[in-house]
Order: sequence, then C-alpha cells, then structure tokens
Amino acid sequence: MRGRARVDLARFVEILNAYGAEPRRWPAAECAAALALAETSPHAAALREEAARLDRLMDRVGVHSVSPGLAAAVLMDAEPARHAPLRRLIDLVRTLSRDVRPYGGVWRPALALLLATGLGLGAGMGGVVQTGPAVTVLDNALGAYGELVE
Amino acid sequence: MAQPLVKLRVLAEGAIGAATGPEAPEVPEAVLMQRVGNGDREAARLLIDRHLGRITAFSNRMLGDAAEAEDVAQETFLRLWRHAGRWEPRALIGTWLHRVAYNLCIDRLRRRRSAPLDEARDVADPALAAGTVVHLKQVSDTVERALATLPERQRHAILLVHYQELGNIQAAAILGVSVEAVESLLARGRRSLKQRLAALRPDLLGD
Repeated sequence: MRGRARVDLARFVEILNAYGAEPRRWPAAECAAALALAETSPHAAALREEAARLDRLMDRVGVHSVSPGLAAAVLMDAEPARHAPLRRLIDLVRTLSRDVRPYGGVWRPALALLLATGLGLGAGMGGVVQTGPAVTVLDNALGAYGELVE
Repeated sequence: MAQPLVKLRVLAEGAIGAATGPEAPEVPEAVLMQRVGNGDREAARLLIDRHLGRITAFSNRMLGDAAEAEDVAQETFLRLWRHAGRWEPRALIGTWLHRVAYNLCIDRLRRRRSAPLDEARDVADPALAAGTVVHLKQVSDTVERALATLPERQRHAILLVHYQELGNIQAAAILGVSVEAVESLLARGRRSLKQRLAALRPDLLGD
C-alpha cells in the first residue's frame, strides 16, 4: 500500500478508477489528501463526478432481505442443545420453503405463518427471535411477562 | 386484569428504552465474542444484528441465489460460534466473517455447473427506454447482468470494496493478494463494467 500523504493528479485518477468517487472507499492513508485535491482542482472534481456516475449505477443493484427464520436459526446454532426441538421445526420450514419455491407466491406466506406459529409455540423455551434490534426488545418483553406470571 | 397488563406494558417500554435509547452503549466486539464463548445469548444476538444482514447480502451477490446465500451465512456464523472460545481480541469480526463467507461461496461456485444467475433477466429495450422514465428494476437487473459477466476475481474485488465497503487491506487479505493487486482488479473491473453497461444501455451513463 502507498503510504504517502500527498496525492497528485495521476494518483487521484488511479484512486477514482479503482475505488470510485466516494471517499469512504478510498485508501485511508490517502483519503484526506485526495479529498483536498478534489476540492481545489476543477479538473479533479470533474473526474470525480464522472466516476460518481458509475457509482450511482452500481448502487442501483437491489438488496435482498433476510428471511425471518434465518436469524432464529443462527441464534439457535449458538446454543444447539437448548433449542434442538425448535431448531428442527425451523430447519423443516426452511427446507420446505425451498422445495416449493416454484410456488413461492402461494406457499411462502403459508410457510411464514407456520414458522411464526412454531416460533410462538417455542417462545416459552427461551424467546422469539427476529433480525434487528427488535429481537432484544421482544425477548426482554417476554422475560417481563415471565416475571408477571411467576 | 388491568393492573398486570399495565405492569407488562411498563416493563416492555422499559425494555424498549434500554435497547434502543441513545444511552445504550456499543459493546466492543472482542467483549461480545468472549461472552458468546461463555454462552451469553444476548451477545450472540447483538452480533447477529450487526453482521448477519451484510454477510447474507454479500453471499447473495456472490452466488446469485438467496437460499444458498442463507446457507452460507448460517454456516459462517456457526463457524464463528465454534471459534468464540479462542477468539483473538485484535481480530475484526467483520473481516473474519467476510473471509469465511467468501471461501464458502467459492467452494459452492466451483461445484456449480450452471451460470451464477439462474433466472433470466430482462434487458431493457433501448427503444423503450429512450425518452421514458427508466424502471428501477430494469436498471438494477442490467447492472447485475453486467456484473455477472465480469471475470470472477474482478467481480469479487468489486463486491468486497464497493458493495461491502471493506477497506483495501481487508479485501486483499480475503482475496489472498496484495493491495496493489486489489487496486488493479478494481480498476479493470470498473472499466469492464462501464464498457458492458455502455453496450447494454448507453443512456444509463449519461445524465
């Protein structure tokens, strides 16, 4: 890696060609110097804008969402012995969802309902899990419910 | 019955505040890994929240198959859990996960016989696009198709640096090459991508 603090126009072009126009993707050691050049040189700024066009196109590629059962399965992998029965249910649902993939428009919601039912039945075993921060919230709420009924 | 329900709501709201409030501290990942090694489920959950989505998205971009991507993501985290007891504090979990996921994806790609993108993608009719509003999905599909035709190593470098926003040093470590080699792969990949997009949809590269 080039550890120089100064970035000339030739190196700036190399950076744009490799990393694109966004400074967050530039080599850390050269980011500040490259940005300074872009801000003081109209030619560098024009080159950066040209690189940004390709960046914008690349950023149009869609992001696929994670299926609800995945986070649950991954969390159960962290404690395999504790969640073995519920894990088998989730694995079955995920396997079935792939087997009926050609019919995804009809079966996916049905399997999601089955998965939710299974997770709900298993909630007493140690909490329902979902992706995202809601997982902590929901488990704490279930823990609070457990306090209530004791 | 009203009192127990009120108590439940108060407890739940407290839990929500604790989990999502601005004062909630970010636990260092080395500490989280140590806790996972000790069987701390909450620590595992935090790591899942932070990394599962990105690793799944990366695997999906590598493989072009959502189901396989989730298999890879699950296997990647399984290996992380197994490694928790001997985790090196200075290691970066994100880089480690990407490296494992990358290698698992490479294994699957090598076993495949078919092309990475199984579904037929519609290439937009240039005549239709001219003078009309470009459909977002058409653009996305066009870019994905162009990415899929890149030489493998160039495509992987772009996935790691552009889409996963890993640093060049991290990407080099994952690909097993020098930083200079990563830059070369990126530059050639971006140039090829631009040429392919220009051939498929010349209107997309103009303003």
